[in-house]
Amino acid sequence: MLSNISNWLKKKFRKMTTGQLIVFIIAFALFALYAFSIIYTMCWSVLASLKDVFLFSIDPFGLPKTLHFENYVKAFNSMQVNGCNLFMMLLNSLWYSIGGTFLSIACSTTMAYVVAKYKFPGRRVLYTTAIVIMTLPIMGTLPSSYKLIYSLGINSSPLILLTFTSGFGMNFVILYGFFTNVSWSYAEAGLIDGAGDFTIFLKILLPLAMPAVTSLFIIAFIGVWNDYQGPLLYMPEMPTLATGIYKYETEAKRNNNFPILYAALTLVMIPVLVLFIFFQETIMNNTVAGGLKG
Amino acid sequence: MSNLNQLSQMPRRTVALTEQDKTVIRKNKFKRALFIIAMIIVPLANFFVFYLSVNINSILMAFQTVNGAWTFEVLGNVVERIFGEQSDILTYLGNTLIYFLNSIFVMMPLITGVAYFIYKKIFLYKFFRVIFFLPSIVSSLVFVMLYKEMWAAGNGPMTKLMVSIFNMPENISFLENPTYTKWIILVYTVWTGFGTNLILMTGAMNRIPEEVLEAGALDGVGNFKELTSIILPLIWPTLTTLLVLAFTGIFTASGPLLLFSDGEYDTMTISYYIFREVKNGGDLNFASAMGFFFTAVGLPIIMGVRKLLERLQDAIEY
Repeated sequence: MLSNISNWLKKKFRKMTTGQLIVFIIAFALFALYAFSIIYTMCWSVLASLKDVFLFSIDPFGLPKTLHFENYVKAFNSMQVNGCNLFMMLLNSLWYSIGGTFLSIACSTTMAYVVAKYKFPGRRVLYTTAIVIMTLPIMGTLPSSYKLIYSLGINSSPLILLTFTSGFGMNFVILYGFFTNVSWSYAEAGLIDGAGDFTIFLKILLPLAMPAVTSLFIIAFIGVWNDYQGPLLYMPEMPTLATGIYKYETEAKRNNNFPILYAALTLVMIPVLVLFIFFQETIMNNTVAGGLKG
Repeated sequence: MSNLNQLSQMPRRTVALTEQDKTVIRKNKFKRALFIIAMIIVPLANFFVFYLSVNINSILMAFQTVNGAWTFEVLGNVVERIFGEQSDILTYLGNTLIYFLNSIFVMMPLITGVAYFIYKKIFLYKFFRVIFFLPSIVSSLVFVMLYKEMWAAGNGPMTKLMVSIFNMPENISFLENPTYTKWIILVYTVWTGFGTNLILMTGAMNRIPEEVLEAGALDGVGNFKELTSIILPLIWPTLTTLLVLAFTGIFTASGPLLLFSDGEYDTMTISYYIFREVKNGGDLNFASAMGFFFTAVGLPIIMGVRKLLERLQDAIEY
């Protein structure tokens, strides 16, 4: 048996010296430890959401004896932040992240498309502005944006989504690169058929860019969904799941109602994990590395 | 695009245009202009309102009192609180630099090391690649909650471990302690900080031609030598890009302080101070002046480092 294993190992690692093998075994052990810490954290918060409130306060790390699924019902019934219950927070999270992501990606796409494919006065200026904005390390403009958003009166309202309509940034650069490399002959076929500019964009060029647009959409969505700082400042009366949980946490410390908090946390985690499982390869390969050479 | 232009200009060159043709061309041009405007009008408006005006107003606010009167006093107060007796902002600067140095001297080598083993297809490497990326996509609230539970005063496992190893007082609270809290938050940022940079780094390594490494392997090069003498020079452009990004954050570096200490217990950083002033309805003009000061100081440093790294990048030929 042992000789079988050692033969298998020898075959598998025949290219390695003993020293190299030891280095890889140590690295593997460290990686496994790291993986354990990450998976444990996520499982722990799901398990904590199913625990008895009293048991959690005595032993937060023990396994639950019975699973209290009613914690989720309780979370929906009793979790209140600024007059919003968990259902409303979920709703706020949904419109905020889907709406914000859609507007942000739509604006980057239209801007990138026009700048890459059409000649018009100011085209170079737009491109240069996009690059300059990305490279200028300006800090501390938060007070000024805060003042503006409150004086425009778009705080705690769906109008806050207007702040997402920026066409510049990393997404612009990636999509600009994409559209520049797409041949215009696709569009010419449409032009000969008498199609207008909008039709060419929507029916011919946009479908070609869809894989890139989709992965940018997913990455942006995850970012907005998890963001707790922006909504905390700009939507105090319409808490999203992330801000609601943050605010409830300070209260939970007093009420000792942690399992309900973890039920809400699990709700935050699930959509992102589902998206990630389905689009893992796209997310990993398509976008993040796209903008960098090397 | 050029083809498109040729298409619309063709009739002009070949035959004399009738009035009708001219109207068609004019109409088409008008339609195209309308199309271009429609495509960029919203993001352009956003740029003027939420970027340009915000930035200009941010500078103006640094030279105004709360009532709108012009003054250099606010900026003077910032300088006073850095170099004067109070020197609290100097402490924030110290904490900020800890996060910054951590990203360069701890995270960069760690990420390079992890990327190397993933690139060398360590057993289960695809699984590990996902695991290292997970903290970037799952809400940090999830990770912070457990982490805080681990360090909780009294029965947190890490607290118990530290108490027994270093013989510390049993009632110590690591999350509310001017000496330890900032380091505990720093360890948290290391634990969850691999994310995108790791993906970029493995991506860069995967683009190295295999023959190069095979030649090294034939020469009997060890792991460490292979990484430092062959791989690192080959992924230098990516490495410098990541360094530039890290340097851009020299004065904005911070941890998730909102979820940990709210800047208390000697953990405050510059960017979190500005955020907290806004969150708590503090002095927005002072916060703007702080931003202005550190942008003015940071700009030449960041641009200088960028130029230097670019020059280094050009100097290395392979």
